[in-house]
Amino acid sequence: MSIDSKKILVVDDDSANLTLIDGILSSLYKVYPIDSGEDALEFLEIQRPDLILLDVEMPGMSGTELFRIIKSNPDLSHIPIIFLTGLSDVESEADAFRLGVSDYIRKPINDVIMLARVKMHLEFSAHRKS
Amino acid sequence: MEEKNSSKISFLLKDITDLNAEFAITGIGGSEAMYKRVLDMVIGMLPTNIAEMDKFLKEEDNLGDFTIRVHGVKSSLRQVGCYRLGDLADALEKAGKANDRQYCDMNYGAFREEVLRFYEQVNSVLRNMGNKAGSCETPSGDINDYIDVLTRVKEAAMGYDSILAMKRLSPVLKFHFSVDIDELLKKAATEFEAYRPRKGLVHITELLNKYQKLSQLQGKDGLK
Repeated sequence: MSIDSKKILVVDDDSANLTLIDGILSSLYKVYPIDSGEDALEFLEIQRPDLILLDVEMPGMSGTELFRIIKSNPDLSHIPIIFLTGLSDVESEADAFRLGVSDYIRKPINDVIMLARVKMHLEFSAHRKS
Repeated sequence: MEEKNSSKISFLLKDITDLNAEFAITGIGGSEAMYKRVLDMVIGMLPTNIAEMDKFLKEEDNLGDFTIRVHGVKSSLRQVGCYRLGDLADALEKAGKANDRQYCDMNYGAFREEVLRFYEQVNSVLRNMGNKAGSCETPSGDINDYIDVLTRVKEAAMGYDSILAMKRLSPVLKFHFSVDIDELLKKAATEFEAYRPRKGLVHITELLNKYQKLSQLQGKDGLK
């Protein structure tokens, strides 16, 4: 499989999750794992990912806070953001969609689901641009 | 090679009743090597996570940080197939969110003991599998070769690419230079492995300064 030029930023405070996600996606995409919301903002000053996978519950800046900051920035607001979460209740999922996330992936992470959702949102985003 | 060494992991872990490794491996595409890598990291982080949960729970008015840490432990445990302890963590997380300190105080101790037991069991299997020990070779080649390697590590770190930075740094890690340089290399590697490229960059920059000085002392060209 060849590596797509698409860049994916993954933000999660758990390095085991970052390793796993990189293992799942890196044969297809260029993956940038970052362990905090603060560092992700610095990353976004110099790079423009095609998609962001964002853990909701993190110490320091939460995924929700980071999401709001990204969406309030006109240069970044077009980037699709998928929430990653260990929260399993329906209300949390509904809250995420009310907030405006593109999608929601539950942990434990499953490789088939992650690959399918990422592919779908990248394609959707590309269609919107064209 | 890696695949071969770790191919028995689901078999070796089969006696740990709280762990359904096979199911967890299926969920990540069937790769035992990837599972072992993730399990190594989850187990490696558990002592720190436990210490943090202890600290946060003891603090007055810090149920929020305790809850966030419990949530992380829950996700990690479930990811590696430890579902029952994941459920116990979930109950603590829900109590934390509901600000039910009494539940957390009453149930955290038993949870902690079970997590520690789980840690000991899995860690013992991982140790017996013989995690590779780093060799300590003497460096060879021109000092400018190392400067070149570290410059490329720095470039990767500046682009927030921890994976590339670590890939470029890895060949240098097997060498023994001096205590302070070894320490800095180790610190940089730790940061890149934890996906903190900016923190790794600080150590790499310090290393480059040291090498530049060494290079100048040897009367050779340093960095441009």
